[in-house]
This record gives sequence, C-alpha cells and structure tokens, in this order.
Amino acid sequence: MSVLAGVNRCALLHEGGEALVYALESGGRQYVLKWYAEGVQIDSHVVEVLLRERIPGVYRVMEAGKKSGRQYLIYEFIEGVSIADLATKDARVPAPVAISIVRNLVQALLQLSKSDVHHGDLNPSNVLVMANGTPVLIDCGIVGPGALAYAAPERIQGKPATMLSDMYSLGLILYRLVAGEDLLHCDCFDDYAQAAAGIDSTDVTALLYGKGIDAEILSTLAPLWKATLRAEPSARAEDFEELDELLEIAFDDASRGSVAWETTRAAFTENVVAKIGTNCSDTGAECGLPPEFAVTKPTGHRKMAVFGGILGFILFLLVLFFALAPREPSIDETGAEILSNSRALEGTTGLEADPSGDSGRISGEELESLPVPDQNE
Amino acid sequence: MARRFANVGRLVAVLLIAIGFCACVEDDVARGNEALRIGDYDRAVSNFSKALDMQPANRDARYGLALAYYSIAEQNEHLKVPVLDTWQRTVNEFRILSRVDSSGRISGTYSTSLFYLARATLASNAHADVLPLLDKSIALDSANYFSYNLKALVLGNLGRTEEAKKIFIFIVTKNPKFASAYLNLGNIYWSEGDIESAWDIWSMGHEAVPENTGLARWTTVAEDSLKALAIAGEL
Repeated sequence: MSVLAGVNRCALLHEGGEALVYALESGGRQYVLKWYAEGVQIDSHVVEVLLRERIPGVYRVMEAGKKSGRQYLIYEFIEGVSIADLATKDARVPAPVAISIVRNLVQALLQLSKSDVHHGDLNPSNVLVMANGTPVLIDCGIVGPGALAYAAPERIQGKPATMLSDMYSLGLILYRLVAGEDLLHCDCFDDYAQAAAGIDSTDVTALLYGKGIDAEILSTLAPLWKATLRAEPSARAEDFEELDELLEIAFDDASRGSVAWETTRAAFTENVVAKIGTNCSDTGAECGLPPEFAVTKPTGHRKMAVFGGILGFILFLLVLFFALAPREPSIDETGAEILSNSRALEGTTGLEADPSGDSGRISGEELESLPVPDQNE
Repeated sequence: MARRFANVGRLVAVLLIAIGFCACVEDDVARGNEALRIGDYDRAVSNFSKALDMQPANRDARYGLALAYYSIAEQNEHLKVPVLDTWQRTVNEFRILSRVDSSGRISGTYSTSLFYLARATLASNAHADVLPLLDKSIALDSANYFSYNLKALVLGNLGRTEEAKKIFIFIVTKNPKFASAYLNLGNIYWSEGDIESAWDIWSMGHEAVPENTGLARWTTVAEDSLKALAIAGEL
C-alpha cells in the first residue's frame, strides 16, 4: 500500500526554490515527501536504483513519481542534523570526527558508484548526521550542478556527475566540517565558476590557520585537499579507494589514539543529539497533504462497496468462464443418447409369435429361444 | 466494522467449504458421465457410486449409475449372457431415482428397463408373472409399444386372446409401422384357424411395412392356404 494512502499527519518542513519538503506520518512511521519545483529533474536511473536497493549511509526511497508535472520522492524520515546546521563558525567539527564522517560518506558513495550512481549535489544540506554520529546522504541524482559552492568545475560546465566530481565536493564538505564555513563565497554563477576553476591556487591550509586547529592536524589534512580540491579531475585521487586510504592515514594521525578518539566522538555525538529536533524546521508547521497527493481513504461503506465490487468481479469472471468454457454433455443428454440407441436396437429385433413353429413360441432373432408362458398353462 | 468483516469472512469460508464439497461430488459425476459416453461402464459405475457415497440423493449421480447398469445389461443382451441380475440392478436404481426426480425426464428409460427386466425374467422363468412389471412400464411411458406387445404376447399365451388381440390392434392403430404387432395378431388368428383374418392382418402389415420379410412370408403362406381352401371348396 502506498505511504500516501495511510497519511495521518503532514507538516511542511521546508519551502524553498528547489522543493517543498513535507514530513509525513503514515502507518506509525515517519517519512519525508520532497516535491521538487517545476524544472528540477531527478535522474530516473538514480531513482530506480534507490527504489530497488538499500545502501548503508544513503537515504531509503519508498516511492517516486510525478504530480502536476513535478517530480516527487518519498523517503524514510532520518532523525538527524545536517552538516549545514552542525558545522558553523561557532561549532566546528573536530578534525578526526570530520575525517570519520567523510570516510563514511566515501563508503556510501563507493556503493552507489557500483550501481553507476553518483550523487551530483553533495553539499552540507544533503548530509544528515544521526545521533550515533554517522552520516546519511540524501537528495541524490539532481540533474544540474547542484549547490554551486560545492560543485566541481566540470559540473559547473554542465558535465554529468561522476565519482571525481563527488570527490571534489567531499573535499569542500570536509573543509566545511573543520572550518565551520564554506571555502568558496561568491555572489554569482560566473564567480563560482571562476573560483572553482582556480581552486588549485587556493591555499586551504593557510585559510585554516587561526581557526583553532592544531598545526599538526593541518599538515595531516593537507594531502586530502590535494586529493580532492583540484580543478582538473585527473589531478584528484584516482578513486574512492585511494581517497579512503588517505583519509585513513589522516584519521590515524588526527585521532591520537583510541582514548582521545572515543572522548572526542562522545562529545560530538552529545552535541549532535542536543541539536537534533532543535531546528524548528525539523517538526514543521502542521498542514494538509497537498491535494495532488490526497488518496481517498475508504470509509466503512466504501470498503464494503469495494469488497462487494471485487466479489462481483470474481463472480462475473466465473460466470464468463463457465459460459465460455467448452461444455461437457449433461447426464440427461447422455441418457437421451443411450435411450435413443436402445430404442434403435429394439427396432431391429422383433417380438413375434412364430405361427409356423410350436404354438405360443416367440420368434425373432433375439427371442428365438425365449420361453414364454405356455398357451395351455 | 471488524466484527462485520469477521462474519463475512466466516460466511465466505463456509461457502468455500460447501463449494469444495459440491465440486468434489460434481467431479465424480462428470468423470462418470465421461466414462459412460465412451463405453467404460465399470468406471462409470465406480465414479457414480463414489458420488452417491457422499450424496445419496444426488440426482445426476443416481441417474448416471442407473444408465451405467442399463448399458451393461444391454451389452450383455448382445453377448447373450445372463442379464436378469443387471436389469434388476438397473430397475432398482431407477426406482430410487424416481423418488429424487419426479420431473418425468427419466420415465422413458425407466419404462424401457422394466420391459427388459420383464423379458429377462421370462427368459429365466417362463412361468413368472411379469404383467405388473409391464403395466408399470406402460404407466411410465404410454408410447412404449414394446411393453404393450410383450404384455399382449404374455396374455395370448395365458389364453387371454381377446385381451391380447385388443392390445395388438391398439398398437397397430397407434403405430402402423410396428411389424411385430401385425405378426403376433395374425398369429393369434392363425392359431384359431381363422386364416382369412390372419391374411387380412399380415397383408395389412406387409403393406405398411413392406421391408419386413416375416410379414411378406406369412402373407404369402396365408394366401396359399386360402387358395388351397378355395380349391378344396372349404372356403
């Protein structure tokens, strides 16, 4: 049954230029309905894969389709906080945690790429961190460059999303996590295009100085910027496996042992838990489901009518079957045939007394030897 | 609402079980009918009996079983093997059937079975009283001239020739093509020495049924006898 058929609560979470986002409660579970604006397109292959497969670290799409010419997705509600809300100037994410989050994202993207799916719009709003500190990717498959501040140069040039374009965006997300702000701040499309094309000349490490990050960690992070923030895709890490290796090295250096890591991680998850649900948009304003999505709920009478209709249809099919199926002759027809043959048999044999023979004997082919009561008796 | 659905569910379950049970019996009847049509009478008896074990008042199964015994008896008639027992079974099934089917659709076959039983009984015991069987046969099917014919023969042999003559005359009046009745009626006259009446009847029968060799033969014999009597001056 469609999620939409059982909706008993709907709240508008977000109303933006790209999409209307609703929180739905259906069958005791929570979902998100994302109804994209006119003109926004989602790659149908991506939707197909997301509907079919369950990939750890990637949102679970339940339904997809079009209403009033606009695409929509319904996916399971993820109780978490976006990196956009989590990593701010006042609340930077510790480097080991940031690296760990990016490693998790790499694993999710690696699984997606095996189904020939690339995210295409990796940005802080599309990564939700759950209470246990693990990230979940949402909003895969947008056709177009996506958020310009996180779009790879080739994406801004209109090329399709690839593993390497996602890798570039990951570098910028890592920066946002540790710096608490976007690396690129521009006013228009052309400026973003120019800034992305000149990313190689940006000294990321220098930009991070003065943000309270340990110098050793800055040097640990340096190889990651080189592996991701490169204008030319071929200059980036060869693939996600290579990037993961670099992230692992960086993590080992930055985490400074398991005790320090666990302490840092616990503090981070506490911070996440505290932030989950505090954003007013998480609960949203109660509203009705858009009329385009309204599914008429069967009432008691209607249920009976539907039940009767189905029963009637089955009966109709049965009648049709019996009417059209080759009919076997009935037992009466068989009886008539047997009787008819029997009468014909009798007609060929006579029941006659033989005037030439013994008095009172019955002649005829079959009855020649048939004794009948003697005339004298 | 839930209770209403539960009740509907229970009703549907009962209906399904009943339909399943009926379908089982109907399957046996259908198999029996099929076997009957292709002449596999033993299998027909087996299937119809199975259906009757489950539903003794099933009209089609009972009729099928009666027809199966009827067919076996007729086959045995052809093979010249004893048939009395089979005709008794046949008539017995028709007797039970007549209690569950009063529509009259089976009267013809029941009547014929009684005729055959009467004939088989006579074959087994020449002194048996088969008149009640034949009367019942005639009561079931007033157009069963075979039963009339046999009854008249039996009456004739019992010396009740006037009654026999009336029946034979009734037969040829109702069914002028029934050659046996002409032969038998002529025979009675012949036995009584009334050769002229015998010739009348046989020649009438020969005219009505020219292809009957018996009538042709006896018409000639009677003609010859009448000529001989005329020549002898006895006519």
